[in-house]
Amino acid sequence: MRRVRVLSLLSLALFWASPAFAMHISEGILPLNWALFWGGVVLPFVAFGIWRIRQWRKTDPAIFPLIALFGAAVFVFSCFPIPVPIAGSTSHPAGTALTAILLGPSVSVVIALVALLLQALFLAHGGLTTLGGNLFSMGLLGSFCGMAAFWVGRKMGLRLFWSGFVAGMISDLATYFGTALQLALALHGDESIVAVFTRIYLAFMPTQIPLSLLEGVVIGGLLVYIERHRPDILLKLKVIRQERS
Amino acid sequence: MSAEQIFSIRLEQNSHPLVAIDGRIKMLLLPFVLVVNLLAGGYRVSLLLSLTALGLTLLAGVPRRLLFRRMVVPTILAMVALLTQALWIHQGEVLLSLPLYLIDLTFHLDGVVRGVELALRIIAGMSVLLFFTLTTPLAEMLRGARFFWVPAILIELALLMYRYIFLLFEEGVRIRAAQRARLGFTDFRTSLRSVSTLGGMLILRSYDRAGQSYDAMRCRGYRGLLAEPPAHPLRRQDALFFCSAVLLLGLFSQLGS
Repeated sequence: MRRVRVLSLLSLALFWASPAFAMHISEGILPLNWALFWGGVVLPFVAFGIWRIRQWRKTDPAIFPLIALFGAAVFVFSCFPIPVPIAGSTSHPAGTALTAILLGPSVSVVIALVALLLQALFLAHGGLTTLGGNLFSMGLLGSFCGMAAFWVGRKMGLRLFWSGFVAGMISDLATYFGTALQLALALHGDESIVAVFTRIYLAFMPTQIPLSLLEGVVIGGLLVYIERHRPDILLKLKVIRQERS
Repeated sequence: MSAEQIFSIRLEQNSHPLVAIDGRIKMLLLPFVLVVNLLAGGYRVSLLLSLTALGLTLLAGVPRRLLFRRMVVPTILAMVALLTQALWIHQGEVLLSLPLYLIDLTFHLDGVVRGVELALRIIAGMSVLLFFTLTTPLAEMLRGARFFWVPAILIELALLMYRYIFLLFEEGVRIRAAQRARLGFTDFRTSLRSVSTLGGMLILRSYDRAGQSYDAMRCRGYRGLLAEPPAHPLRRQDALFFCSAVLLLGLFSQLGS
């Protein structure tokens, strides 16, 4: 009976631990066919993002250090922990919604690629064969869904804070949707893909719903802070229009 | 905690022959080793790769504590992967059945075997990756990346981001210390406001610093592309390392099959 209890606790602990580290799929988890597939999916977006940066740099040469510095700032910002009350632990914001709002989703994909590469190489988070998969969920889904949510929010007349809030929240949930999908497709074993996907996505939820809300609050607050102190940055990057500043 | 403690790589002080191997050779081998790890099947190749990569990393003078600290997250993930495979694959004889309150957890032989294989694959992949990063200076990596036709703009972006991560991290730590001194991060609500302000301040400072950096780069002759370090020819020890690695991979594959 004691062994059963210990094993049950161990299983729960492992399942509880998984969402905290699962934002990046680790090296070796995805089989080669899935690694190549996700790499192929993200490749055109990366190519488009690089092309977009090149074009932008032609018209505004000073934009390149700005992209790099914003990328570095978001990377650093994502290293600072925020408390997750329900999980009783801390987590960190993903930040892709922020780069997508400030620099556009295609540039955000390239920044996410570099950030994921640096994290995989220097922090042992993620991996090289899983880079395509991680970029799909965090860079592609996170950036495009976050940006789309922000755009819809602004079109609906929401204030900057609430648009940022929705973008941060949706971006976070979309990222985990992508991660759960990839894990389910690769590791479903004898179970149905839908069942495994649902199980993984639901396993993320206890930490991910509060975390996505927190990410939304932080991104909304951050945008409002910039608007109050340096609205010229948001104007230059076309996040807000002149009449709103 | 400084950014350097997070990244913790001071390869310029390490003159071990494994660190001195040309970055192009390591970059050429890395994808092959990772693909072999994914394709090998079974547990032998992954186990041999893990032991070799971890052994070589320690042999290269990388501190044991740093290496094991880096392996903590992959190891936890490997354990989770093992458990999920053990629960999701229902083939082979039943090894263990645990009646919990609502569900029965049943472990089948095939599931456990596949789980162990996956866990070892994760640990092997991360060990190989860590050998590469902990024994290759950044300049070598970038030179190798350029050699293998990675777009210059991507390398430049990675270089600038890497450079500024350290600076901004220090700045972020200073801002957080100042916020704490002013009663930030005291409770949940204040923490959220403090994190937002911290992020906002980092963005504002990055914006100003980007302008200054661009001016400084222009003064130093920057006209759109960073200067590349000259490529040096491959040495005998590089060729020797490459041949040994290929032989070892072949041997591991044979043992695995």
